[in-house]
Amino acid sequence: MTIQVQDLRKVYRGQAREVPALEGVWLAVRPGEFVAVTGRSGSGKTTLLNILGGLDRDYEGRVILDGRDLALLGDRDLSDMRNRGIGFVFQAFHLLPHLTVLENVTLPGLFGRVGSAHSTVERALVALERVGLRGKAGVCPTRLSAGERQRVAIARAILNRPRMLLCDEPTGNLDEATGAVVLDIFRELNEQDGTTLVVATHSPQVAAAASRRVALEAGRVVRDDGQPQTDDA
Amino acid sequence: MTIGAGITLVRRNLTRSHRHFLFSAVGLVVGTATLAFFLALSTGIRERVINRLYPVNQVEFQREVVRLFGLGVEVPARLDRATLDALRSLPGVRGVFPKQRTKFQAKLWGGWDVLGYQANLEAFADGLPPDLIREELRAAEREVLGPEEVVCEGGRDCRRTTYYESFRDLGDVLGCASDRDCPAGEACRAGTCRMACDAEDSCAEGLACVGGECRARCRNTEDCRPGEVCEGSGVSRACRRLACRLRNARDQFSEDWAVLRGEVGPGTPCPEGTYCATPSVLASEGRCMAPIPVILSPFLLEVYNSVAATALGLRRLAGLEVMLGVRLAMLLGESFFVEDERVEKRVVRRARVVGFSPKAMEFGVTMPLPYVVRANAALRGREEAEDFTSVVVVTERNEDIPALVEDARVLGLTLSPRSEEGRKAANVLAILTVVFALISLIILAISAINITHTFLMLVTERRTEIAVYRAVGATLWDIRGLILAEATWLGLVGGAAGVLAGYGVSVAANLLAAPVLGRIPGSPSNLFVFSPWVVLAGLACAVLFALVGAYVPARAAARTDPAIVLMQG
Repeated sequence: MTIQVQDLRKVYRGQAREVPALEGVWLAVRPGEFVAVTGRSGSGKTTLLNILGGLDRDYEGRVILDGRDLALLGDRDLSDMRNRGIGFVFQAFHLLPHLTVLENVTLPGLFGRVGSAHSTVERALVALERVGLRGKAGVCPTRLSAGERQRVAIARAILNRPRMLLCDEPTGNLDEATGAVVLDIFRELNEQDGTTLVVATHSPQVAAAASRRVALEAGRVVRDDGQPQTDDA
Repeated sequence: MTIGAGITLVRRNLTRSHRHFLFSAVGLVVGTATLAFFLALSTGIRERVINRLYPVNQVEFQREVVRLFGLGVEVPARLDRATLDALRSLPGVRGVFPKQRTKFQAKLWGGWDVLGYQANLEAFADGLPPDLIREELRAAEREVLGPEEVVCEGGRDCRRTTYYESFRDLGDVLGCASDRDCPAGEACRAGTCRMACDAEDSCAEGLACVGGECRARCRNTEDCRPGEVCEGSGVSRACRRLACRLRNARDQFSEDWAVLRGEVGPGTPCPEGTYCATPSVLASEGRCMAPIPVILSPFLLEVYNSVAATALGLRRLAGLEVMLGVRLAMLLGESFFVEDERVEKRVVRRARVVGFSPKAMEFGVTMPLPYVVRANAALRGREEAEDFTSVVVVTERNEDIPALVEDARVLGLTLSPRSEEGRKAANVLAILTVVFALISLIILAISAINITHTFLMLVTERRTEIAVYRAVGATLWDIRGLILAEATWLGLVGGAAGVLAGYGVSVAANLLAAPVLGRIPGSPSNLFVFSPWVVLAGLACAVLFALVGAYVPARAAARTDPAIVLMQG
């Protein structure tokens, strides 16, 4: 998925004051890139990912995914893009505790029109197979380790074979070894499927594994070691 | 989101939060139960009491009474055949049924079989067209005697004895001195009133002119009325009433039916079920006739049971059915209160109870109209027989009645007290229904507020879940729809439980009321009608109020900002 971010600005408006989160971010990502967005807490990484994923629509500037300006999309089209084109992986996993692992993974299938219910389950099992958790399909997430939960979250994110994965501190709650397993999965998705990866992280290992590193500071891009030479840039 | 996926999610959420939903449903159950209970009660009272007493699409008129200087003075306009024709021509009128009261004195006795003693009463009677209440009599009879088709011995299908079919003009011949003593269309010939004719085509359809008299055509005696035989040849075959003779005129007062049947020939009495009716108490020669079919008002039995039986220590009547088939005797022209008619004008007639109707006279008997017209003509003259007491008008639609009332006023007619009562009763019932429905709706509104609180709490609890749904592709409408679908399901379940609870309470109410209703002859055994529309109204209101209650939470759920919620973890 091609990403073009042009002069992106975001302000959080509180009752007492306004807090700028992004202040004129420019970014262009080619399909199949593995981009690590680094920076200190509060630098705007998560805000950038939320805007890229269409979860946050209160911004200034332009965000264009595969040539479609997110600001011009209606709720239905944007939801459809999230359902089929984008996968999310969160630091806190955000699995639903009252559902089994398999039910969690099939959630995107409930809101989209990608195949039948039967094929959704089959795709969910394949996704679980890829993250090595097919054997735990019927287990509740509360009985899984943190690493396993994150792998379930990844399986959920890739159910509909999205063109882009947005991952917010995916290894933030994991130990080094478990984080490495998750990182291997990301690498495989990027290299084998050509999935565009944008990962917000503090982890040097994750940053090192990425093909490109973008550093944010106080809502601005301060370093981008793979800025493509495009007319827009 | 597909419907199947929506159902899956709703089912999961309802199962997960069943305690919250059960708590929310309590108000819906109470509100719906109250609504269903009162709607069913209102429907029951309207269908089983008011419509029975004051049928829809029917209204009764009588001559207008003008109060002159504080005195009740009747307008001189008559309720005659011309007025009836004018009523028939009014728009929306489907049928006009005149009623007439007896205008002469009479005594009545009988009832030994059911009362245990012979009752002697002043007799009042009125006549109404059999067509007006035939179906009502049939329904009332089925209610107390069961279906007409019964299985007899040997498994054969056969019919039980029916009574309502007898409520028709079975024929009667009263004495006369001149044409003035006969109803319109009949002439006095050889001391009796007859439909005179001088040519074949001067009789109405179905009648043949035989010996200067119009008689019913027949093929055999079964085509004729009781007490008649079919005679003649070819197309001239017509019914003739059998002449009979009693041993002497005093036999008319006998209670022995064998004596009453007299003789039509040596050793041959009047046919089974008929008796020898003479033109006056002085005569011993007469014609074989069936007893006059009469119907009674359930109120008469109610008054007897509650007043007469209690005061005089007499046997109470268990139900209406015990009176069916009971024979009575009437002496027209004599009174306990006023001077008797000339003796040659006095007539003994037998009667038989064949049904019950709230339309029957409360304190008297009601018979088919032709009997009353003939008797009024014989004892009071043709003019009196042509003046009707009231008229029942059947309209195409209930909405036609207000205009009809206005039109009838021009003809000098006003609503009878009974119809006026009916309109008032219907209005009172409508007001009570509205009041109780409002109370039910208030309960449902309170339950809707409760549902709002519960759903708001659930939406707050499920913020992360909703945000995850949005992240994986749920639209705003998916989120709203999910909450509203849960509310719909809650409304359906709460509504169904409420209707069932209302039904249960109605059963209990019926059981409690049974001892009281049982003492009122003709009262319905069940005051409630849970018709499909009552059930649908209960369910629809429950769903509607659940949706109203869930509307704000559904909007709040859709407004959940997934970015903020997911960022907070």
